[in-house]
Amino acid sequence: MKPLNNKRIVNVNMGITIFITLVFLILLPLIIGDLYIVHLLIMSCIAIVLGMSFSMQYSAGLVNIGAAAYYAIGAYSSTLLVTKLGFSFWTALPVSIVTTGIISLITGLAFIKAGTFTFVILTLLFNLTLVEALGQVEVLGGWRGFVGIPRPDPIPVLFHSPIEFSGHISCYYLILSILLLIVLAFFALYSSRIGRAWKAINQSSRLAETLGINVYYYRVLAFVVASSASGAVGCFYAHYFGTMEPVTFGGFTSIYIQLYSVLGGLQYYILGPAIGATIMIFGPELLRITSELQPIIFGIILLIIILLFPRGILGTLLHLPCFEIASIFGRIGKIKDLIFSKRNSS
Amino acid sequence: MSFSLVVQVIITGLTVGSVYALMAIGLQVIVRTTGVINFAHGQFYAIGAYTFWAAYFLFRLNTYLSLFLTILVLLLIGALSYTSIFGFVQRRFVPGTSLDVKFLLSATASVGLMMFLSQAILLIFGSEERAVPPIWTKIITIADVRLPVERLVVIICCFLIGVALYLFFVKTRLGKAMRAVSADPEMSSLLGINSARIYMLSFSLGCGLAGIAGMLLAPVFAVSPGMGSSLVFMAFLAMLFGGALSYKGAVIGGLVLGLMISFGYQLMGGLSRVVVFAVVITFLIVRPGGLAGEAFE
Amino acid sequence: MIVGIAMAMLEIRDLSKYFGGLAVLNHVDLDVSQSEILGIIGPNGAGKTTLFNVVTGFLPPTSGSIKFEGKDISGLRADQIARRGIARTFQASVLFMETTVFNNVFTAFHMHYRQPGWKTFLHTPSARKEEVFIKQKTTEILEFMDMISMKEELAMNLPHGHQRTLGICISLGINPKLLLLDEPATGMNPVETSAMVSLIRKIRDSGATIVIVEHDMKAVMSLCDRIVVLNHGNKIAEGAPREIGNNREVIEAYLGKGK
Repeated sequence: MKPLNNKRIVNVNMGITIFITLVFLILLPLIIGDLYIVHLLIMSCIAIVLGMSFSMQYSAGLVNIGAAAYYAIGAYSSTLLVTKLGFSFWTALPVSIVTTGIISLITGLAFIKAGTFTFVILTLLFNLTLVEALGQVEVLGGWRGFVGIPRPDPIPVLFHSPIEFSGHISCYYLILSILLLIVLAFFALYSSRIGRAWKAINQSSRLAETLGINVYYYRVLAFVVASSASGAVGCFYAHYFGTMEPVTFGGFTSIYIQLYSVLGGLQYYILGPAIGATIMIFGPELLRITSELQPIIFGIILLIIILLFPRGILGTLLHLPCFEIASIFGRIGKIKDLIFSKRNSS
Repeated sequence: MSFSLVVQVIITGLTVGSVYALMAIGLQVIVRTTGVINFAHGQFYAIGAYTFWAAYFLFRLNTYLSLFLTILVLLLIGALSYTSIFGFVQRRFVPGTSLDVKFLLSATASVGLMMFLSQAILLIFGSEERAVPPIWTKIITIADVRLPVERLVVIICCFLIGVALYLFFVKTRLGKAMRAVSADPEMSSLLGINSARIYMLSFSLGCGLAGIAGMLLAPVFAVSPGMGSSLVFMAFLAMLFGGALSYKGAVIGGLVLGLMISFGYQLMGGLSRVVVFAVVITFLIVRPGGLAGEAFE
Repeated sequence: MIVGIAMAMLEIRDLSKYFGGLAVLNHVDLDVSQSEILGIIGPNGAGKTTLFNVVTGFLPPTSGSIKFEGKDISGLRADQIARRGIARTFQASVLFMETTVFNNVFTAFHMHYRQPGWKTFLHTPSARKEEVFIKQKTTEILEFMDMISMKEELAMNLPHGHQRTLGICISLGINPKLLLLDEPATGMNPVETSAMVSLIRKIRDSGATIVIVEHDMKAVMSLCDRIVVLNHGNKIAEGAPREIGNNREVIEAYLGKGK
């Protein structure tokens, strides 16, 4: 009897929290007048998805330090489809996701086969090579890239004027919807049999194998799903930002993506990147850190986290004594575990 | 292509190839002993080049003094990096934690270090290329073929360093200790070898090698902040290509890669790196152990 | 008189494994009959764990064949072999350290889900019902192995002896027909060891066939129906415990040449 009651209360609490968060997110741009902040919110949403993509691969035991490559593939394939072949954004979006998926499948099968250490090196090399290729080949835009990439076409709505995407706010709602869809999908994956297999592989791939889990298959699956999500936001980025050059998708961006996850906490596959990415997008702006200094500061931050706070922000905060005591009372602990998709909860 | 052009391309290929090999060996020493994948290796290379430039050009010290100073600086920076960062990470982990976690966190730390150093170098030295006045300007001409002595010196130096390293690992106590620690850390500490110190010295050695590589190429090509990144790409590729667990593989991998790039550049220009990468990757798919046949894990 | 030939559950024929030039397993022939407890002993380095690794797909054999229930399994991957019903434990405690005892065993049921992946993704009612069923099965195993009292403990916090037992619990989760135990009693005192021995008997009695590698001679002698002795990759003796105890070659192998 008691466990059942606990679960009900927890579900209701969780539901309320989610509802309030959603309302807050939806009203946010209307409350904040400053369009520049809205721009930062949009970039945060993109960064959160990229961070979640890194986390998903990490959850299966893969450290991808060339994640920006698939972000680039999504952006470039969509741009090419729209500017050179006349597709509309709405057709280009699914096509670029599929393209990223296919390329990630091919590269994933090869890179993951090589072993986890070699994988780390190969993903970085692939990222650097891709940027080089995009820069050298004129058809793909060369080093100057593309300018004037159009915003998404307006969506016709019944009894209403069509939804335009020329302004920041409608773009925000678009990326927010994409983000929420991806969060939902990822959450469902993590709490399914697939997510359990990933957790097992992450903690001990040898033991997972003895339990009939095909480690290679599940790793490739994580890789492809995560990379496709990156491709999706890559497509959005290209059309939102309007201009794009190969250097944007280089080594530093991949490292920033890794930092989004590490900063928030590697074991928190959804909320970790959410917090980490938001801090890394808003932080430099609020602290007036120039783009020149950013790599230095972020490098130091990464080192500090690895050395002193390897659990990341969420991990360190949630393991503070006050939270530990509260968890003895069970209830708060359960909410904490459920919301934060923590590793050792089932 | 005319014969003299072919020879020149080969010489260039061997020049960069031997530097790739030197870098790859430096990487391997670090990976096989401490388990750290040193992504900041390219930055140590650049520091070597800049230190040499500063000593030789800015402060007008004589060649040998500059050499000595550069190597010293690199060894010190390497030791410092290890103790403050990677050693810390390694010591923090209670034995029994999954080995993967320790190594992956070290790799992440090295990525952070890379970012920091890369930008620091850019800010300290500015973004323009610096030219180091060439030390050897002679050009030997044999049968219509021009052989710049500079490049030959690089090849010969790398060869000599290779021999020195071989002797070091096989004959000296320290070298043997390093090999023991990389083969079996537990057994080594049981035998009384101070693993922590060996780790630091190995890392130092690896960085020293990177610095020497930077020094060697500084007079040949210009010194610029980005030189480290493009070179470390090749170093990693050479290491994987040759077989991550084989020094001989690294040497051969580096040389072959150098030749491929040299010919590729002659034939295709900028796209050569992309094509070489694609070729090596395909090779690795078919033969994951690289040339020597021994991969990680 | 009818002479029946029972098909062995596991048939190993002429199995060799070379590392470089070194023969770690040298033309080994071995049969495991259904429902028996077979012990494999031998000095360190004899190839016992390598044998396990090759049979369970963690290492490819250099030559020879392995048949399980009549079908060839020599080239298969570890997870494929697990799905055929062969489970194994490891010499060192290989567990999901940061998970609870309960979840460790729960994860083991992974391949027995009958609902397809997409249904669990969508959390359909049938998927949820199956989860409840699996939770129940997990509890049964923990009760069977007497571990139910610590089901919420993290694996890394367990004392050594319980960690070894947990390893066996996990392998029971895949409902194995054949269970390979690699030194289950390592590091255990006599009390723990005899508890382990009765647990292993219990497992055999519930229908599994067991092969056990062990150094603790008392446990091996009392537990096993048959014993095989390996030395330097060769099978040097095979038979009932008493015979093995008196076999001169075996005694020499342990005390004689080398260490």
